[in-house]
Amino acid sequence: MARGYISASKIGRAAYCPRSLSLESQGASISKDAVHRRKVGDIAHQRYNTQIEQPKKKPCFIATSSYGENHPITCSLREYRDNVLLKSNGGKMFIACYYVVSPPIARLLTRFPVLQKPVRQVIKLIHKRLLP
Amino acid sequence: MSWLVFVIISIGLYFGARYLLPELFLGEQPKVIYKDTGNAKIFRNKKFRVEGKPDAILLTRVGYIAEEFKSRKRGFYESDIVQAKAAALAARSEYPISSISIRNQTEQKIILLPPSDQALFDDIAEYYNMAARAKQELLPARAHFVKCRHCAVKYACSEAKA
Repeated sequence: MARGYISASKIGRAAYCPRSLSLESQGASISKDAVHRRKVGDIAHQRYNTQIEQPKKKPCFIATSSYGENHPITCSLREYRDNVLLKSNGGKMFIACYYVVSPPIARLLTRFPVLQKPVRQVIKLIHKRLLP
Repeated sequence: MSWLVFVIISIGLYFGARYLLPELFLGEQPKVIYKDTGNAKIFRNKKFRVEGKPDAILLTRVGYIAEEFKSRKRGFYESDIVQAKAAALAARSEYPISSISIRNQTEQKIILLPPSDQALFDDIAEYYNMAARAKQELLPARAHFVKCRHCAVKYACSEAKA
């Protein structure tokens, strides 16, 4: 730590519990389970560092956020995209538009879970129409 | 005709949401500008004497976002937000950070920051002052069963509730 600067993590710890920050700054011994938790946290951070730069496999956003990645409906819609839509120019154009519009909708569904039920019904309907 | 109405309504909803909820439009794969790999650069804000390393700085469609990762499965604490704000203030010495993102293993929360550094500092000033005094004083405890259970110095604390 540079002289006269306060670190962001200390400021965060003051918000968590000022007493614990005081005790640690004044040399109180750290419990063994806390040392272990910090090691586990460091490993999770390393995993996070490798994850953020890996390009993600393009998912079927809306279906994935409302049904989950491995749900049969999500899987069959993904297959429909790969086996039917990607084989025609119109389908490719539709997919390009879909990938612009769908990530915000998927985030909206995560933020307002109450919307998931009606969206699931719509997806179910589309699924029934496309893959009877 | 009904298709046309549907398309117009959809476009209206899209742009309305884009205006009202900008955090939903971060883009599919934000560009990673910086990541804390241990020996990464420490940002220092000279004016407010705050230093820190966000876990990542991402360039998205809505601007620069300082991200803080927490290894727990769910839930965010006020301290996570305060830490992310302080790290963002430090990183503003080099990047115009407009939002913070706090991520755990299952959820993500995005908070828009005030545009001025002074307003951002005011948000965290109370805790900044506490952190500055921590070595000289025994600051008050914020004892809570869950917090104390995970506290690193619980055995040294007379007010621990765990």
